[in-house]
This record gives sequence, structure tokens and C-alpha cells, in this order.
Amino acid sequence: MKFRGKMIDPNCIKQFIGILGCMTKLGKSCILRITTTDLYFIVRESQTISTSPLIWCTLDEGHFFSEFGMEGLSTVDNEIYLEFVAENVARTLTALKVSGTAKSVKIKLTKKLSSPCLTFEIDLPSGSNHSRLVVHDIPVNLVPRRLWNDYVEPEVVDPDISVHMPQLRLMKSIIERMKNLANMATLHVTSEGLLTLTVETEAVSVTSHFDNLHVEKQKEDEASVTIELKRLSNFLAHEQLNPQKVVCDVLQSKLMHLNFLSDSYSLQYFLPGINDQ
Amino acid sequence: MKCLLDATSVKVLARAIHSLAKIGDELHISPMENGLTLKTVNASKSAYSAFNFHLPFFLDYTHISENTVHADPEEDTVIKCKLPMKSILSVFRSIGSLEKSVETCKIMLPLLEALLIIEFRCKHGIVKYFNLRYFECESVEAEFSKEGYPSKFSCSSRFYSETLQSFHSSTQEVTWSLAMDQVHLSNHIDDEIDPSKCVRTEVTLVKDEFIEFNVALCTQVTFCLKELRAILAFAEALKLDLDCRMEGAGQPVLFSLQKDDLYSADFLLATLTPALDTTASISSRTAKHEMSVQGNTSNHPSPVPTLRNKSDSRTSRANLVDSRNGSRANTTHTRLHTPLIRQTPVNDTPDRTPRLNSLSLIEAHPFPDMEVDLEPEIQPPPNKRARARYIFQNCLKLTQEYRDRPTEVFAPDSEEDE
Repeated sequence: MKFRGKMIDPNCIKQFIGILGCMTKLGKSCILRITTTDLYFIVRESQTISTSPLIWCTLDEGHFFSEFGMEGLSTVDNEIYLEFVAENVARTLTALKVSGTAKSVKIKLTKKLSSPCLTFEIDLPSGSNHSRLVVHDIPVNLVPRRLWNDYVEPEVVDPDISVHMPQLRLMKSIIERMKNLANMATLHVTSEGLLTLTVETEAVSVTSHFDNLHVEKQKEDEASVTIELKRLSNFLAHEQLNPQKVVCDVLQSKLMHLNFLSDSYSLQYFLPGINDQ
Repeated sequence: MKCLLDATSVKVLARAIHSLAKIGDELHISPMENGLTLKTVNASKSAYSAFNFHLPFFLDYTHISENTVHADPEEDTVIKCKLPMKSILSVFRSIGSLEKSVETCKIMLPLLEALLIIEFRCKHGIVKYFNLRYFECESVEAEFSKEGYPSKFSCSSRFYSETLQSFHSSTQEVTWSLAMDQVHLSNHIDDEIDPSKCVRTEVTLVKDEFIEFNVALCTQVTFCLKELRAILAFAEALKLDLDCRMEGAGQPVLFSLQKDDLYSADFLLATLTPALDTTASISSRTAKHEMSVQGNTSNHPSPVPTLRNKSDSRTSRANLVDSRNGSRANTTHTRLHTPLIRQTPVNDTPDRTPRLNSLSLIEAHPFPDMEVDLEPEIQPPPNKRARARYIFQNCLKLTQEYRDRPTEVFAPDSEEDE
């Protein structure tokens, strides 16, 4: 199995690192799936009250990489699945942030010390026309073929209502404060473009209203779902991307789905609803 | 001692104290004829740092403490003392507020009161006094020479900082591999941890990136980043270049900086000794022992070679020597102690693991050397913490005598045993 990619555009590098940052803060281990056309990052959280939420991110390699080559497990299954410990990458990322000014970043699958690694080779400019090479070796595990089916692409969500989210930064700060009141919140979306988030405790009930949101799709007039604010807050806290738009799909009582859409990548966050009985 | 500083010098002094505070817990103050020296040693005795402020740095400077009530030249003396870092740091804690308000600073070590007095004259007529208690002590010193290091390179402190940015802030130790035309830095992984499970980072710096680059010996040196970061914090704030002198694995590394003739600083850091084989370690032990015997009996501090990998006879570059009290006339000091050499028990265990070579600092010790029988058995290796950190704890143990002592019979058997 081989994989080699090279990025030279600083914006792409920054975006890539931002996406990696988002992934790695949210779960213990992260899966990287490499195909001939795309790179997928998959995170499945393990602590659950209900079924685990999932983060699925698709990156179009053509946009990010100027050079890209891969050879999968076999000609039939021409894909590579790697698993790495999120913490390792998160820790290296603070170092990789330096590569905001990098001339090029090469990512390769290598074998060092007789175990597979994902090697990041960063070419940093330094001083006047010198360049410095920084190499990070992150140990990875190859996921065996029989487990590939655990990581299938989730089905396209058929939402009851789908709206454009308000400014994420705004949502993030509000959710952060609301989560201190209670963990469970009810998210309610109407077809008029009104989104409300309600938290209830014994003493008080707090609702945040966001209106004039653009409605994408509507099957029903309204939909609501109970979600865990801590998870959502955790996710929003770590995301540093500036997507062009974020779409929120709600499936009555079942799912809240956030879809970050951008030219070159798409990131989906599935937050299952809680049945509070 | 009495000295007067202006506003910019106060800031430099404050930064120096911040830097020293990151390294050690006690600040040693030694007024000398040509300036003031602030020193500290870290708890595990693996880092020594000294800031020397020369005469032009001060508006006014006297190194002798005089009796201000009854002028008596007989009593004048130079007071050397040490303070807990926390107390002096609290005075200089906020550099921003020092910058905004302090106009001059006077630091005094009066003879009659056992206090370090700091007086800040600030804007709007405010005067602040800080009276800090100190401990009298033998100062801790490292004697080392800047010459004779085979490898030397220097560059701006910002350059070092940028390079270190590539390493995560939790990296403890970094290995510097010197080659003829480049330097590789890589994070050092403890032996106990499986390296294939850790992230390994390597940075390559070519010769041209340095202001000065002179490597005579291709070698690998590993030391802690924490102290280096403390040094860089100071150097970068003042935009100074940093010189680095290295010899080889196990030998201390010397970082130094200098600002014209105003002040200079030296930082001596211990490095990890690479794995030794048992024969070399035994010979080094005996060499060390011979020196320690001399040291204990003589009245003069004898230079003791630091622990070496090979049993060389040449004296080591960094001899750490007990410095004597400046003046014998000072009756408040307790008796001079015979220098006791504290050394790491290098290679108690014949296993092949790198250990941080402590800087064999000699500090006067009021208690006689306690002999501990060395057990030939290997001590159980530390399983959780890094070996280097375990060894630091070992450094605090007293010297262990290795040789067989001829047994003196004080009371012979009254009956012959058959």
C-alpha cells in the first residue's frame, strides 16, 4: 500500500490543518480513508447515552494536493484505511500550525521502526532563501479489510426540515452558556425559518430564538429533537473552519445533522436525538 | 551592596529574574567588584544559570555593605545571600507595570539588617519599599571555561524559538545531532516507551542558517527543553543572539548571551549520558572516587571532574567548585564547610540506558558524609516515570562510597575463635 500527497498552496494547507484539528479533538481515534479521488476523515465517539454520533469529512484530493498518488490494498479494494490516535495528531498539530508559512507539506505512508506511520514532511522557509525540513512521524494502524464495513459512508439524510444555521460563532457562545444550565436541550425548527433552542431546569427555562433563517427543504412544518448540549458545544468549540454555509437538518426526534459545505470539502456532524423517557 | 538602576535596566533585571525563576527555586545573589551576579541552580542540579550585570549597567554600584550607623571599615563586608525565588519574583512580577511606573530602582543589602531592600521610585512621587528576608549561604558556583568546546554555533534567539515551535510544548527532551554542515533536532523518547507508538519529530537546520557555525565533532547531545525555553524567553524579549557550545553526549552544554558590556549570561545544562558499557563505568567510578577522597580531606576546593564516559585524566571543562565566603572577617557566617562532592551514582546498574548527567555541583554541607554501602544488586529500574526524572531524585542522595575500606579493628577479640 502506498500513499503520497503534496500540498503547496498555503490556503489549502491551512484548511487541511483546520480540518485535522476539528477531527482530532473530538474522539479518541480517528480513521483516515484514502481513495483515488478523496480523503475521508471519520470519527466515531465512543461514550454514549444513545448511539454514537459520527463525524464524517470528505476532502477532494484534487483541490488540496498538487501531487497525489495512492495504491490501495489491492486492485479490487483500492482504498487505504488508517487508524490513528487522535491525541498524537492533536499534539503535533500545534507544531504543524507553524506550517502556515510552509512552502510545501508532503504526507506519506511510510514504514519506520517496522511499523506503519503517516509522515508529514514540512518544508519551511527560513531566513533568506534557506529552507528547513521538519519531519513528523505519526504512528498509525492499518485497518483490516474485514472492518471496512464499519466505516461506510452514512446515508444521505432525508430531513424533515433543513435550514441554514445562524453564525456559528454566535451559536457557540450561546450554547456554551446554556450547557451550564442543563445538558439536554430541545432544538425546534419551523418552516418559517425559526430555530429555537430550549433548556429547562426546575427553576428556569431559557430559550434562544434565531429567526429569518433560510429554509432549504421542508417535508413537515416543523421538527424538533432533543440533543446533548455538551457534545454540540464540544464540537463547535473545536471547529476552526470558515465554511461558506452550514446546513442544519433535523429529523423529528431522531437526528440533528450539521453539514458544512464548502468547495473543496464537506464535513458532516451527526448528533443523534435523545429519547428522554 | 548597594546599586541604583534606571527604568530600562529594571526591566532587564526583571526579565532576568523571570528567566531564573523558571529554572530554579532559589536566587543566589553575589555582589562582585565588577558587577552583580544572580545565579540559580535547578532542583535536580542539572541546570545552572548565572546573569552577570557589569558596572555600566548600573547608575551607581557599590559591592561592599557598610555599617551605616557607625562607619567602621573593619566591618565592611560583601554579603552573599540567597532568597526564595517566589519572594523576589513577586516584586518584579509584572513587567508591564514596572515599565509604566517605575523610574528608578535601588537595591540594598545593608549590613545591619538581614534584609534585601528594594526601593522603587515611581511616577507621581510614589515610593515603594520591599523588604525581603534572605538566607546567608555559601554560594553555589560552577567553574567553567568558554574555550575548549569543540562545537560552537550561534544564531538569533528568535531562530531557536522558531525551530522549537515545531516541537510540541510537552516535549521534554530534545536530541541535537551535530554533523559537519547541519544540525538535526529530534524529540527524545524515553527508553521505556515504545518508540513506534510515539510521534517522532525531526527538524534539520543547515549550516547557513546560523550566524556562526563551527562543529568539530559529530556527536549527539540530549538535554531538557524547559531550561532552554526559559533562556529563550529572556533572549528573545531583548533580541539577543545566543551562543551554544557543545562537546559531546554526557558533557554539559553551555548557552551564553551578551549585551555589549552591560550584561552577560551563561547557562550550563546537563545532558543525557549515552549507554555505557560496564568496564568504562567502573573505571569512571574509581576515578571519581579518588577525587572525592582528596576533596574531602583538603581544605581547598579541588576541581573535580564531572562524570565522564571514558576515564580520561584531563580535567573536565565544567568543574563545579565550592566558592568560599568572600571575607573571613564576617563573623555572622558559620564555619567554612569542607566541600562535599555530590555526584550522581552513575551506572549503579550496568544496563545500557542514557542518564542525565548531573552537574556535580558542590555545595557546602553541614553534615558529614554518610557512607552508604553500595549494593551490588541492581536497583529495580523505574517503571513509570522517565529514567531521567528518576535519576534527578537520585541526585539528592549523598555520595556513595564504592571502595572497600580497610577495616580497622578497634577492639580485638579477647578470645581466639577457632
